[in-house]
Amino acid sequence: MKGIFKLYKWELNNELYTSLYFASMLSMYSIEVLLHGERSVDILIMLEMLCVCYIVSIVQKIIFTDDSNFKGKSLIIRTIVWFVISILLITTASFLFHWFVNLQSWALGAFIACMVICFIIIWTGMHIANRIDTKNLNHMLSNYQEKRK
Amino acid sequence: MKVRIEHIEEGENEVVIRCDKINDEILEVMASLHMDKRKISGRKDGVIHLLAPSQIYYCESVDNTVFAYTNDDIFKISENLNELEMAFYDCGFFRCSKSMVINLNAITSLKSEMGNRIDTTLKNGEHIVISRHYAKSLREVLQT
Repeated sequence: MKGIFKLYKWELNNELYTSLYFASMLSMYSIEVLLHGERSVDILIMLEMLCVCYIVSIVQKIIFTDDSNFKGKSLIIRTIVWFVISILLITTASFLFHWFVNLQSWALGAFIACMVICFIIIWTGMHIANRIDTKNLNHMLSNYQEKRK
Repeated sequence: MKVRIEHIEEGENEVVIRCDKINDEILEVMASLHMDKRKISGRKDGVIHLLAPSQIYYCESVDNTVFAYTNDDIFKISENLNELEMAFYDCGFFRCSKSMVINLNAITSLKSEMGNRIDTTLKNGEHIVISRHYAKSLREVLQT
């Protein structure tokens, strides 16, 4: 029972990431479709994207396990591996399922480029947020210790 | 609050608190006076040592046995983590994981990590990572 509950929790967490990736991927794709003068996205393509996002989030879960504590070089390597695998998965899926067949040749490249830019922005943002948070935490810690001296 | 020390030639040391009513400040003074008297008995190599809470950096439960870690020693203690957390909360003892209680006064620095984890560095250079579940509680405690 405990195992089932653990799996259920793991799966719920997985779906959160899947939803986030799917939302961003679909948004980017929708914008490109709009730029090509179309106003609708094939439901089959949406389902395929959802599946790919699910696989990407599973890969993320495997590389960055829940109780992991990766720092420095290990963290950078794992991030690069996850990023490369994700891009390869998405690119492969886009060719296999012909996501960009009705769009111009630049569409796929633009799609991948957007994802890379988003990734860099998110990564940089998280890094800056962590640094600010670290400063705040140490400020709170010194206040706490001062009060109890 | 005025603090006055009267020198006596002989007799027992005594602390007298004069106040019209017991408020938070008085309670804090009383707590700090009592704090030093509270010791934790720890066993090492068959010898019992009395440890002040301030000496303990963190306590860890391993196979239902709790160990107290000081700067350079490890002692086996009889209290469980819940008891330590409750009894020495005002000494800075904080439950940082299922199997660990850390002394917040023994932390030299904190570092925010990915996944909302917090990496703590203790006075002896050891690192303890606090998971996101307990990191939230830590932030609340530090703000008190």
